[in-house]
This record gives sequence, structure tokens and C-alpha cells, in this order.
Amino acid sequence: MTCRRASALIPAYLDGELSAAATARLDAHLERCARCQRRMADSRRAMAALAAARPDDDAPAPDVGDLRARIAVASGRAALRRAWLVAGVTAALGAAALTSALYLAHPPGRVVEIAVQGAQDRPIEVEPHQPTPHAETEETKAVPTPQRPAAQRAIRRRPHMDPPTPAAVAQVPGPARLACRGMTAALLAALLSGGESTVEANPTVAVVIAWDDVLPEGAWNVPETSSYSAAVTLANGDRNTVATETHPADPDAPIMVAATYEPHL
Amino acid sequence: MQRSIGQPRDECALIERLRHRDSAAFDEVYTAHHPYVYRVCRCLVGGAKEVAHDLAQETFVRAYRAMPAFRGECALRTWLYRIAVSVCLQWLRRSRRRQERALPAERLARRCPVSERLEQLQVQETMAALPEHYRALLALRYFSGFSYREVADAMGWSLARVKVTLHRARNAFRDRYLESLEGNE
Repeated sequence: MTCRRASALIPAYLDGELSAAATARLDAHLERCARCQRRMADSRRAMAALAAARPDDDAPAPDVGDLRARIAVASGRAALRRAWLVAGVTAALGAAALTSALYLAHPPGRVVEIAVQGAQDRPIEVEPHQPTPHAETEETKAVPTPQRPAAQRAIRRRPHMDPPTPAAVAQVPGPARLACRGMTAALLAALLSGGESTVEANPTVAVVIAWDDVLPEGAWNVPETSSYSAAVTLANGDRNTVATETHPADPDAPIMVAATYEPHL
Repeated sequence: MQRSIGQPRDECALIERLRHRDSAAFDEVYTAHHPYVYRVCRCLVGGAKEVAHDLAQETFVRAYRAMPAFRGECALRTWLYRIAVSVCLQWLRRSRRRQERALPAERLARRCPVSERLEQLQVQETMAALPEHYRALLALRYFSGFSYREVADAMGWSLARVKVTLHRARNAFRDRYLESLEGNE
């Protein structure tokens, strides 16, 4: 046995994990190697120090009240995360619809596929929907019509504003319904009212969210930013991608929307 | 629900109640397993007792939330240990990042403790310098006194992987510990 091999086996030897044959070979090597004997002494010292450093076994008494409070806070955070997921997805869908409406002035295409991806990679079922080709809202007037492929535009919207003309109905499975118009305001209203809220329903946007947790007070510890994206592929091959960034920790922060339109060449 | 090997029959009934969010059943589990979970957390992170208590509570919060998905493939305690190890490893990674951001003087102060418990502190320092999974293996094996099989269950690893990694962890600990002793002599 070489010194290198012996050195590698020493900790297992001290732990009683070596086979009888390996132990015998190591013993034989140690008898005639002063260097490995020192190594063995050092290892024994290290492993003894490790065993002696074992922390005390002084477990505190279980605290059921504290645990329940923590569970309530964690549930509230999860509810907030879900709410912001819905807000982000709704914003992405709304923005996708807006840009579709903008760019489809010539010739109007039919939406054949809508894919939405959130921070949690949670699949959302979306009903295909015929977009309004000539919709002209305040928002649409604010954004110039693209003149070249892959045009990129950034639209800054305040959260209390109504969403643009929607193109789809997003559904997230859950027991409670939240119909929203001006989604951020609606979601915040729902949070503040303790779980469920119905504000003035927009007939073309309906978001159903899981709302099974009651939001406790002081559960506003949410991520600073959440990003979502939506991609719409039209029947004529054009593709419209929209990315949104929400700021859950700051209800006054605007939702940033960036849109990319790629005509099929 | 199928009973796994080594799982007591009454535990199956308990798990069934837990999956239906029976809070009395969860209190029962918490009271029975808290000391063990706390001990694992304490062994894994060392340091202040408050931190270990916090991590033990976090383990049960996660267990509560994940309970409906628990199918009883392993014993309840093993499952709780697995969550505890995951919670502690996460904490250790965050803690290491915080330490890396600390000022050099603060790091130096932490590395050169002048105390009667120098040897114990040197062990803690050596452990802190090891990769998190080495540290977890050594703590489960030498502090918690787990068998190789129990370590494998708690880490969610194969037995062979535990043996190989533990071998490396022991050698790494020994080399670093001896180096630190030489540095102080």
C-alpha cells in the first residue's frame, strides 16, 4: 500500500468503515511507516475534535402558537404571489392584445396560439380569440404604428388604469373568482378585503384565481419584481411577444410593458 | 395509501389525516418530531440556538404546506429530516454569501477567535469553510449520529453517493483542520 492510499483510508479506518482486509493492509503499512503514523495521529485528533464539537442537545419546547403564526404568514405570501402572478399575466395578455390590435391594421390575422409564461412556469389555459383589428383606444393612439419588422416599443402604464382591449380569457384553477378591470387595483382591493372581491366586471377580461388562503396582516413581504411574458402567434405567421415587469412590493409602481412584433416573412 | 418499509401502521392513519389538513394531527406530529428536527438543524448550522429554532420552525411550515403532496413513500420523520436538510442548506448558502460580502476585518475577527474554546471554534471555522453538502454530511454523521442509510434518506441520495462524498468530506475536514492548527501554532 502506498502512503497516499493509506492517508486516504485513515478517516474511514477511524470511523470503523473499512473492510477487514483493508484494515489489515493499512495496519501492516502503519507498522513500518512513521510518516503515516503521524498522519493517523493527526486524523485521530481531527476526528476527535469533530466529535467533541457536537452542539448541545437542548431543544427548546415546541411552540405551536409561533408555528401557526408562521404558517399563516407563509400562506399570505403565497396568496400574494399568486395574485401578482395573475396581475402580471393579465397585463401581458392585455398588452399582447393591444399590440396585436395595433399591428394588425393590415391584414387582420386570426390568433391561433397564445402562450403565457410566468415566473413560476405555471401553464395557463387560454381560449383563442379573434382580436379587434382596428381598436383605437387612448393607449393605441399613444403608440406609433410600426414601420419595420421586429419593432420594439415600451409602453408605460399606471396600474390604476383600465387594461387595454383584451384578446383572451385566462383561467387559473381555483375556488374563488375575481373579475377584474384595472387589475392591480382589483387585486389590491381583494387583498385588503381579506380574500375575495368583485369590482366592476369587464366583460372581456375574466381572471379566476385560487383564493383559498386568508391574507393575514403584515404579510406584505413580497418579491420586488416579477416578470412575465406572453407570445401570440397569428394565423398569418406573425408573432407578437410581450414582456411585463411588475413591482409587487410597490403598489404605486407602474407596470412596465415591452412589446416585440415580428412579421412572418 | 401503501405503507413503506419501517413505517408504523398508525403513522399511515396520521398521514391520511394530515393530508386532509387536520390541524390536531399536525400539532401531534409537530410536538412529537420537533426535538429531532431541531437537533438536526442545530447540528447542521451550529452557532446560535435561535437560528436552529427558526430553521426547525421553517421546516414545519414547509412540511405543512407540502403535506397534501406527501404520499408516505418514506417514514414521516425521514421526510421531515429531508426538508430540514434542504432548509438548512439554503440557510448555509445565504449565510456564506452574507459572509463573503462582509468587510475583511469582520471576516478576520471571525477567523481568529481568542477563546478558551479555541479548538471547538476551530472545528466550526473549518466546517464553515467546507462546501455545504460536505458540512451537512459530516454533521448528520458525527453530530446527529446517523447511520449511512439514515444520512442517505435525509439527503435524498443513494447510499453509494453518501459513502463516496462522506469519504471526501472527511479528508477535506481533516486537511483543513490540521492546516488551521498549524497556522495557529
